[in-house]
Amino acid sequence: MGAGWVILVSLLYLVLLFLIALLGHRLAKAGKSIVNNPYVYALSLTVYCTVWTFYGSVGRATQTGLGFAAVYLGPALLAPVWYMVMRKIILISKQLRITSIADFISSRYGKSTFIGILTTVILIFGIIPYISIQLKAIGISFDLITPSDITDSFWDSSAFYRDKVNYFTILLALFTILFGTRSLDPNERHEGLIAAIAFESIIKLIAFLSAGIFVVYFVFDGMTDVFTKATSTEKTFKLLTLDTSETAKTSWFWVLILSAVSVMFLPRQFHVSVVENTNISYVRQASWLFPLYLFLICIFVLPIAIGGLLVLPESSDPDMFVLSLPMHFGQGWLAVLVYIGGFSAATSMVVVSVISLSIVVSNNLLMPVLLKTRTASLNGYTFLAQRLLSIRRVIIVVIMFLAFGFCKSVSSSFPLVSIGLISFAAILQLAPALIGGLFWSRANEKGAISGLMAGFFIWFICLPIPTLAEAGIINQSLITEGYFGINAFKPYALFGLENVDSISNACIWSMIFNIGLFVIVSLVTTQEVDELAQADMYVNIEKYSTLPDIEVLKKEASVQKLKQLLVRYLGASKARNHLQDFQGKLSSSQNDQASQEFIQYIEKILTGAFGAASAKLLLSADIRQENISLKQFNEIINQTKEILEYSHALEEKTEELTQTTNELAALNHRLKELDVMKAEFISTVTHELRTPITTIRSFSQILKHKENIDPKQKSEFLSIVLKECDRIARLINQVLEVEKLESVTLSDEGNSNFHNIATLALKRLQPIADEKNAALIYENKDQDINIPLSEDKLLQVLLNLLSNALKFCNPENGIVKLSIQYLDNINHPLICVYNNGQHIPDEFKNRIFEKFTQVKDGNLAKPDGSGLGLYITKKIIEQGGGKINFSSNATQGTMFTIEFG
Amino acid sequence: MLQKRRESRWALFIIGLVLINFPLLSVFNKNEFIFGVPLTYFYLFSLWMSMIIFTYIMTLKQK
Amino acid sequence: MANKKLLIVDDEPNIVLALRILLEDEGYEISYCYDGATAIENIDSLKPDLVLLDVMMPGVDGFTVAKYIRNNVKFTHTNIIFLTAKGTKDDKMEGYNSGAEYYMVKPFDNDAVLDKVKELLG
Repeated sequence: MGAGWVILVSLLYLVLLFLIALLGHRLAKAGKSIVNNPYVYALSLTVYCTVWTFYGSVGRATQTGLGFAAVYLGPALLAPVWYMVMRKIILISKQLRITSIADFISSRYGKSTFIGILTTVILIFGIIPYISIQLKAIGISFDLITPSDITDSFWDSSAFYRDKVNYFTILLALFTILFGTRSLDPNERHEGLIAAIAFESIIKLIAFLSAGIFVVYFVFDGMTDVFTKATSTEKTFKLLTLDTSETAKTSWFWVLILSAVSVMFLPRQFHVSVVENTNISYVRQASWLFPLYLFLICIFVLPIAIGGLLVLPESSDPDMFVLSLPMHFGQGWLAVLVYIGGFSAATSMVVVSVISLSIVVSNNLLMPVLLKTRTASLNGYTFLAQRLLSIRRVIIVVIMFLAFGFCKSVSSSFPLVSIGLISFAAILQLAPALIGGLFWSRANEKGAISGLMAGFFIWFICLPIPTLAEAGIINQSLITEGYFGINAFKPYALFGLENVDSISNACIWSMIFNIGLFVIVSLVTTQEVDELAQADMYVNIEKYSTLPDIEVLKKEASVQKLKQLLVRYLGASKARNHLQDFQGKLSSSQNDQASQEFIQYIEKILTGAFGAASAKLLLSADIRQENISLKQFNEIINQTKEILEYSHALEEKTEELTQTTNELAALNHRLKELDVMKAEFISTVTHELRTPITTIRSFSQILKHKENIDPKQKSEFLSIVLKECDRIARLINQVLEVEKLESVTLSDEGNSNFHNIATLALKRLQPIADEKNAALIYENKDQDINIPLSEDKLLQVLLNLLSNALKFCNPENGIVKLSIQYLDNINHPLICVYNNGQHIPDEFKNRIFEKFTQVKDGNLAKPDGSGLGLYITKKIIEQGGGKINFSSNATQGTMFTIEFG
Repeated sequence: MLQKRRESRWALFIIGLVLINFPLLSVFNKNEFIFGVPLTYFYLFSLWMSMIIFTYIMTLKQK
Repeated sequence: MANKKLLIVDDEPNIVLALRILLEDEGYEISYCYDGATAIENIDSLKPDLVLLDVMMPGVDGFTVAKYIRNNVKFTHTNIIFLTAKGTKDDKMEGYNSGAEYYMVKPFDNDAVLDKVKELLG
């Protein structure tokens, strides 16, 4: 078979797969999914069978006989409890939109970024060797099936050969990118992929069964014949029973455990069984269908192994018996079928594993690291998020490249299964944290980290490193003498554990340290608050599958902001779809605080796209969080959400209230003051009113009663009565005036000619001046002065001041002067009213402009003013924009000055 | 009812675990033939098939 | 009625005048002043039988004058009538507590005042 032919066939097969995937995808979109049934689901699980199964089992069987079967008996053993365990895992994963095993673990432990990174590292170290053996197998099978003139073998790194595996590596990388990075689905579901995988599984089975049937019924005469012939040589005879040496027994046990763990927790297994699962009931069917598949693909392994040992030359690679036997007998088409079968097994493994690894690495390793360095510029993160698909493509290429490197340098020297088991042992390290997390609520982050790190460390020094030593890359003395030359640190016999094979040794010690530290540290340390919620959810998922999540951390965000977040990271149309989903369940108003449910919903969606740890980081960048003490949490756990929101609202209210109370107190004080002032005013006014009324009444009564009253007395009394009536009227007017002045804020603008009004005022007061023998003097040269007061008001002011001046001027030699004066630095006129009377006593100086204050003189009786005159005057002047002032002393008398402007 | 089913599943698992491991395995790990095939081979694959069948029966019951 | 002496204390001259007219016509001997301080200063020399007291006066108010009189042993026989615009219950209480016989609110009825005076002085 020409190389070109084989390449063509391989390519065609890939195209076929791609078309099937496309068909599956389209049909799913149209609602007629071919993938959505339990049979396809069960078939997808058989991605567990890779070239390890296809080629490697036979190779293993030539060494350990039925020992090879341990890898498949583990899963078979799980069959009865498969449904129960997977159901719990699937429930949790769907609830939290978990998209990878790393997510699953880190989510359990408080969405810990560190655990996410740790798990990712373990997975990378574990899976790359696994991928490398697929590449190796493709390479060898290709070699086998293509005749070559040059007998170059796989381990010649000739330029020609290099092209081959390179070529396949690149091809597979492209294929994987094509399959897995076409869109960013928050659920990470790839219907097309599953369709292709299911198809490949069928091809695998058919190919292998065909080879098996050929060997057993065509090369030999049936099963009995094979086994009988096996008894004829030593090396085949011993294969009929299991090796019963201690080492073999231990190995048997541990491989059972490893395979049981791996069938659940290998990234590709987790992906197809959990992430891609659409219906939990399928798990029930798969729990017996899958072991049945394994059964079928294993029946002929031992016969083929025996057949190869008996028939083929010694130099034949046992790993390749499945292919070399048909070729040996010239069965070209069967050989091609087998080749395709092997090729199928390899591609399905590579594609699913690499896709799931790329998800894990991008969500748990790259994103958190990049987020931390770019937190300052969230734009940077948006940039990354939009290019998530490209990032994943890069990751795929890198992984493939690493696998290729490992293949060339290490895998070439070992049987397929040996390398495979090393991968299994790496996955085993995840088991304690994972299983413990599912069933033990006290398992905490610190415990998990301790266990993982210890286990990984032991694994690392016990398996990959010595493998490198065996391959000759590092010093081989490591194996024989131990690390640093210490016997106890011999990688294959750690701490002196004898009679175990390397795998069991690594398993035993890594589990001791892993489980040990995990349990001890979990017991000794306390859990963070967010962990408790997750722990409860994981362990008691049944309770939560219909209830909303308990989210302990307080988060504040506006609905608007969260919507923007969603749009930014998922794109507008996807965001809209998701939001519509949610709005269907709850109605949330636009710019309010987002409800806890809404926040959780958004978080779930982001988790689906970026993984739990990244989503949490994303949201914290936008949302503030506060932690609560453990004690409080325990009390609140059943009513968390409401109580938290309530107490926060209370805090805010209290603060507002204190502020408001202070303001109110100030206002109240002011009001009280005003109240007091009002009471005083009223009492004073009523008193002022009562006094003249008393006088009027009294005199009226006297006038009434007194029969022979002196007419002069009568006249006098009546004048008093009339004057008192005037007094009342004046008082009332002034009170009204005051009222008007106090309530009117706009001054009625006016303008009057000073001279005119002054003259008028003086004319009115002249009689009083004459009565008192006082001189009323007017000094004003300027007849054009305008005052910004209305004429009435200006008159009132002048009358008030001048009449006061007259009242208080010197009784013998009274002088009252009204003048206009100009001072040097003032360019507007001053109105001055002067009298030469006694000065205003000091104690009154502050108060003369106040209401009801009247200057009293010991000798004088109570003046007949109301005490409001000056108050009104001042108010009027001030409303006109002016100022009034006075100076008064004993020697010079009193001078009032008014200025405007 | 659910509890009972759960228990029987776990029971099946445990039984399988015991049967598939040494020392019990050694009982059947003899160089004998049965029905034309080696005993060990027969034992392992029968056990395997039984697990499948029992699991299948359990899924039937659940419907 | 034999020349009983009355003292009128009020800062409002017209009221003093009215009361003077009223009481002098009844034959009482009237002294008067316009503030509390003056009243206290002169009460020793005047020794009135009855004092008609206003409350709201500048400086020393009527209650103080009343208390002064009452605390003074010399004036146990002196009657006090308050004549004032302050008419609340509290004011009346204070008035009586200061030792007045009667507390009358302005504006007053002349006859009422006369009746009380005659009652107290006989």
